[in-house]
Amino acid sequence: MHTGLTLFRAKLLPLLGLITLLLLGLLLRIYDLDDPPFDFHPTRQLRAAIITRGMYYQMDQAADPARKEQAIALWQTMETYEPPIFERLTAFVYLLTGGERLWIPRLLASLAWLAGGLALYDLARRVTSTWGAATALAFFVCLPFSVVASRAFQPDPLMVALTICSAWALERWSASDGTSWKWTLLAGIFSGLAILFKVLAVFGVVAMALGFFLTLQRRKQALRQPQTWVLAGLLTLLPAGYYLFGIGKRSADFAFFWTVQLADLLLQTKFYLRWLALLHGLVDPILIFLALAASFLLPARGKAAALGLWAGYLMIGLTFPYQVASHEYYSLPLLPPLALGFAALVDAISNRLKTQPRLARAGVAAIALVVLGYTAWVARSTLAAQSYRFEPVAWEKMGAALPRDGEIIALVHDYGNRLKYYGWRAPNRYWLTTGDSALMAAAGSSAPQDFDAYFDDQTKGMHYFLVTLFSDLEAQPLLKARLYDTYPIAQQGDGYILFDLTRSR
Amino acid sequence: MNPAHSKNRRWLESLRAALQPVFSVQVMAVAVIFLTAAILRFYDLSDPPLDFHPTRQLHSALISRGYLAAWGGGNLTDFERSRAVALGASESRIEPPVIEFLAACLALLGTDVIFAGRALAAGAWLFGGLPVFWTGRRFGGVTGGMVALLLFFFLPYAVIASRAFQPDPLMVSLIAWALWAILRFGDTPSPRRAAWAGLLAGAAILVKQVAVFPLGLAFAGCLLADWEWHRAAHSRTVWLIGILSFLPALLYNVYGVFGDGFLSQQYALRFFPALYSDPGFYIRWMLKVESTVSLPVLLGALLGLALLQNRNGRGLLIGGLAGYLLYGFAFAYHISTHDYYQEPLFPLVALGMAPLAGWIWKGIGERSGKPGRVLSAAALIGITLFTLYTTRSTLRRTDFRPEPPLWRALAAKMEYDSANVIGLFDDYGYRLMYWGYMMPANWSTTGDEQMRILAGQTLTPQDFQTITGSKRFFVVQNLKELENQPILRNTLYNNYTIFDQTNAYIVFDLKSPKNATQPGQ
Repeated sequence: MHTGLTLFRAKLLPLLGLITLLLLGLLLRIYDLDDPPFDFHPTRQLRAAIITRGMYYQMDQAADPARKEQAIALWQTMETYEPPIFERLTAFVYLLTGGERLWIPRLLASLAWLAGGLALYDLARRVTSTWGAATALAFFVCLPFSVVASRAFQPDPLMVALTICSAWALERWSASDGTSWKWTLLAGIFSGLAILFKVLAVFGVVAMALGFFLTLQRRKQALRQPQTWVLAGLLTLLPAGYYLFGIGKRSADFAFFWTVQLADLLLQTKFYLRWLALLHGLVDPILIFLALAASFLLPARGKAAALGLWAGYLMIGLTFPYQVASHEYYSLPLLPPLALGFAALVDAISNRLKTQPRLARAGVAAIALVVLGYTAWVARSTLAAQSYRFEPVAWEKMGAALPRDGEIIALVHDYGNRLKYYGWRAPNRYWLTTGDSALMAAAGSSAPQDFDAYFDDQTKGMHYFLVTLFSDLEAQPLLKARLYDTYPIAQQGDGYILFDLTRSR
Repeated sequence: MNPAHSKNRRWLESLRAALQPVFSVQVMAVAVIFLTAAILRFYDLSDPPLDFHPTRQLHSALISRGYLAAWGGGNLTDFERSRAVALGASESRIEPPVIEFLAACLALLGTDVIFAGRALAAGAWLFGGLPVFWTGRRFGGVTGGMVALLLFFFLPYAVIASRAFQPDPLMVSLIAWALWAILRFGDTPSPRRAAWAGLLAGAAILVKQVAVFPLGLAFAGCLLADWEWHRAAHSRTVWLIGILSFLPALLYNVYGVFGDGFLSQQYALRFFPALYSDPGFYIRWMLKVESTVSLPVLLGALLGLALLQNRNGRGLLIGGLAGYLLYGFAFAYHISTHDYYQEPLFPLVALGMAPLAGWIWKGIGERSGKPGRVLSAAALIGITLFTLYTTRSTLRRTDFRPEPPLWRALAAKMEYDSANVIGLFDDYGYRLMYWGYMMPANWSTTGDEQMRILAGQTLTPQDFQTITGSKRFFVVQNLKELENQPILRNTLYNNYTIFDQTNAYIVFDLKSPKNATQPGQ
């Protein structure tokens, strides 16, 4: 009897807790999953959707040739940022399941996130305790920001999941004092894949790898053993093969614009305030502080993982200052170190609680359950609060109605991705939004002095001016005046106006 | 050596020794925290108090101005003075008008009565920081004390709420003092300490009676952590604390209910047991906690409780939190709709975080040494500075200075005739009362009606003609509420001409119907 109870407490209860948390995480993520992906950075998600659709049509032998050509052409309008592994995988699933359904990649992203959660649980359990691990997992899967962002069709959830797998394997590698081939290979592959999926992972992965190397008992000897160099090789060669040798020029341009040209931001106080303000909207600053401070309570290998990930996130911010202060998903890599910090905190407190009366422990458990339930409810409410089901129809109609007898310049949502995906049409040129202009100014470009000359230059060869982003048009009064005062309206529909640039009023 | 020189040197050394603790890093850090908290609270304090529960603040302002006017103070005309006295006297007094009285005294020196009230509230909160720091230091060392103080002073809601002209900031400060005094009594009981604990708890409960919940149970918790029931029941010092705590409020209530009678109707619409079975009530309550002290801080405080070594302290905080829960159930409607009902939670969570902070700091020192401590301290300073900046931005963003002239002008246009005016207001017409010296009748909002239904009252529909029969003006300030009452909206817009309109209000002239034949037409 006693043995049975001990077994239940030691093995079954943690397993039940783990399964419950993973199921809760899955339930939260599949809620309203077929809603179009406008809830979180639609530009990025629709970009992936357009690429995937092109791949799917390319592979689908039965597809209508005209549609196929169109889908591939739209895919080709997309710039390359990272290898389209997730998109290719999704296209295969589309092919296997016989159709294009946007909830499929979102489900895949969610499953990848939960797999990352499982790795996080095991890592946290090894460096803290079961209670600490459960806390880390609960935070990782139930935080409202995590729920919304982790089901987005973009490489970031997979990158974070792979980064955690890398931490998990590196910890095992370090525990074997760098001698285990199995963990060497796994650590190298996970680390390399994380960076390959999205290059942002490089900072966290390299910082962790260095941290774990420092935890080795015999570092000098480790430098001479092949496992260390195989790990380093896998970590480096997989992503370097793509980013340096595959799209080297594109990578250089990307780094030059987003890092070098925007480096001035690092000297501006408002950049740090904007960064913190964005974080404030995602996670309470007190939680961030508590988790950071608690990271120093972890044992050496736990510290290597947590502090490596903290350092990685900091480096992301300093390297991509514009995005980190404006794109929420650039802060997704912050969630694993936060979770590890909470694991450390709860681990230490649970040790203290062991000496407390049963009633006190029951009280703490009840409070933990209430908080978990409340957080899950908030996450679910965030998803339930909005529905975008009617949005695609307007874009479909617009795509069908837009004339095909001339070139179109556009001031539109998400760089035209909504129109491209749902309307199957791509504008020929884009008018800069105020956000784009601000970005160009931050990068050192000067604003055009003569608006009319600039307008004439931008619209040269264009027949129509499409506007769907009316708030931005209001923010550009010169453009608004020029369009309304000079050109007749060629078409007007649900959510758009098309000006005819070939005629004047 | 010259004896005089030697004497001077000895004197200098003794002075240096005496001043050394004053200029220690810790003392300087605490001083900086206090100074920053004071600067933040006095920033833009002369803005009219419309940023935070204007109804409640203008209620206090009216009472205070009534005193001031009655004493002959303030720069008022005879008309304004007589109106101010009457308006002040007409305000209900649920709790004794302590802060209102003090504000009026301060205003006698020449300051504006609202500014005086807000400054007193802010000062009281700052003063409450002392016991928070001292008690926090006992629970979690100097780090614990400082973190408790940082939370008590700089949680964004605390900054805004502590500048409000209402009794709550003074009550919170006195709760903090009473908790400190009760803990001191619990550690080393003595008649002197009992007297202090009783007097401070009594003052807190007198200022706002809801303090009885956290303080009563905190006292019980602290006592029972160490004492047996029968020992407590037979202790004269315990009785002394009990009597000093309850007597002032008891006397006030006896006088208010059975003597003067001004309290006899004040306990209606307070108790809503029907809400207990509504899950939405708990969610709304949690959302209020989230928007005030924030859930992470509450959780941190609960974790801190688990780490607290001091038995009396643990009893004190558990009792205090249990008292807050009981208070929430007792005032179920208000706790889930009024954020300032969460204010008694501030000293409790700040103190609860102290042992957690102290314990983390100790752990970091042991496991990560100085680098860990330096990085953690830097992160804490960074987050505090960011919070300060955002709170200051919130204060800066709003400017209500254009409002008072608007209401003064409207009152003049309506010839100060209160009997002629009814309105649908955001704040029961308090702006018109305070700045316009008028007392308009109120058209009920849907929120008022819902509260009455919850309290079990039977409602009769508001009949427009019956209610507005003798009125000339219908002031609509709450335009959102007007949309919630489409019949009223249509009646006003379809039948009556607009007398005056600004961004703040629309006034309909009920004696000038739209379809009436105008003289001369």
